[in-house]
Amino acid sequence: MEQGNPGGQVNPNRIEEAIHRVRAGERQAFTTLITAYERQIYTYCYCILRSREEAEDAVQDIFVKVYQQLERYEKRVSFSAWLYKVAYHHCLDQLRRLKRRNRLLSLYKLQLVGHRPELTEESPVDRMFGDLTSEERGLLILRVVEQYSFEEIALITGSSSAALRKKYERLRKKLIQQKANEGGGCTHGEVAESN
Amino acid sequence: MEKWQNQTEQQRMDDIRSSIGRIRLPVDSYNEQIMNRIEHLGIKGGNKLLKKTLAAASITVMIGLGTVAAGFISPVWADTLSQLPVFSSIFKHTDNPGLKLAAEQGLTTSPNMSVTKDGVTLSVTEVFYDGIQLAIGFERAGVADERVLAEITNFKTDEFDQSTKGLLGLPEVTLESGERLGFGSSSTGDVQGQPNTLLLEMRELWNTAALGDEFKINISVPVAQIAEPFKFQVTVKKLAEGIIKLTPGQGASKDAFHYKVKSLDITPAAMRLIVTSEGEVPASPEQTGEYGPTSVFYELVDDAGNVVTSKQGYALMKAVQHPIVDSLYNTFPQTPKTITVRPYTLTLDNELKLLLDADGKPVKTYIKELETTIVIP
Repeated sequence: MEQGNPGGQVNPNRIEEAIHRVRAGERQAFTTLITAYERQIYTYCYCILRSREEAEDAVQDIFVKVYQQLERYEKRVSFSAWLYKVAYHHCLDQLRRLKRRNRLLSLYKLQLVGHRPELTEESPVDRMFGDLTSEERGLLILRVVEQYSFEEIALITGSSSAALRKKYERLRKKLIQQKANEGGGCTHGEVAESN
Repeated sequence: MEKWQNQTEQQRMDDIRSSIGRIRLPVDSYNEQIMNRIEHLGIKGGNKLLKKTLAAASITVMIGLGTVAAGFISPVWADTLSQLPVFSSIFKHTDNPGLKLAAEQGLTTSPNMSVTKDGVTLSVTEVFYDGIQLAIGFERAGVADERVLAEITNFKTDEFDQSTKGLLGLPEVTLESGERLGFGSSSTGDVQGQPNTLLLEMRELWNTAALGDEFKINISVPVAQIAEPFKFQVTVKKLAEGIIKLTPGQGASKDAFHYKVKSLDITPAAMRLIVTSEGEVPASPEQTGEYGPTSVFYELVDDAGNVVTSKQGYALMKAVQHPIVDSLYNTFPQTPKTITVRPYTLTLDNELKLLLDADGKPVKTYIKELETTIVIP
């Protein structure tokens, strides 16, 4: 992952041009934006929602929403950060909805979970996500994978950068502990650190 | 110890990036699905769906067009017609009640034209035109695939998936002059329950006065893996009876908003209302702050109290002022003595979501002062 280019390796001029064209009424130019970011947004949704089906629906909903709200995008933030902001709020809504549904249909949920081939015990992503909250999983993508600054993540999520730093610190320790528990041989080091 | 710690952390973060980096899209791209939904929004929002002219030289098949009224089919004719696979049945299976009614009442025409190329036969089996909408029914033979319309990969250029031979692209309809037939909205698709058929509906047609009661159209249908499009020339005859055309010019005002009913056309299959308006969309006391009105919609109510609403969509923006609204409505059960135009708005919240009532239906805010009643002669 290239440093200092959060949001991916997409040529920003190409993105700005596509935005401009869509705003001018050239609807088809929106495909440039979809192609450029759909994998990242899918990954983000998948990690937060932990379901392929839900992530597939979410990524489509998010791009439709982005298209509808493109007029509102201001260049103050990068387009990718703005896109993540829409995705973040969409996933939160989705999780709230899922929680409600799951409370009602807990039995059905158990069956559903059993049918998620991507989240089998063997999946390294699943293992890693095992004891992380959805908020931590989202933070992990934005900070570790996309390498956004805390200030940018604050803009995306609406949290303060100081709170995010604290959350990230806890997350970092959790991740290192996970590695140790997997038998990385550094348990003592971790214990020493956490003490 | 710290160096060791940093190495462990670095390794952990690299593992994470690598694991997450291996997550792939389950499909090549969602481009098509997303663009389809956006396209649909466009139609909902009342945008014009413009069709690109396809340039292609081909044989033009020309066969006379005859109107067949259901009540007057001779036994010989009936026998001949029954052998045509889907005579008069495509329109009967649509979800357009006006078109269904027109087919049931025998108001459609049957050009009965076929073109065969490379083992694929395409026929134009039914046409209906009432001065408001033009509907064309197609039937395809010689293709095993049950799908008729191919996936449209680019709605701007009408490009479509060419991977299965015999699947159709979007038909293009031009006038004799070569000009595209203009329309407000259209839909093209397979007809459920009618295998191997395709229905093209073009609504809110432009400049219908210039088209007259009879005009020729050229229909060109591209077909996957067949080089030249299938071409037909069809004479379209406007429905002769039961059409009422009014230009009331009456309207009403509230605050800065004013509208006028420019025209109201009533046919046995549909009604078309054209309204011009100016001024800011009126907002009720509830439609302030977090909430705001949509653009103005116009509901029609007959003297028996029957209500019809237009299929006009809404833009996801507050208080959009449309200087001209051109909408299609389903007909009333009987020709009414009067029709009242009842303007209303829906309510959008800050997230541009519609305010819904307890039944999940959008809350309508009627603007009483803007109602006007048109007398039907």
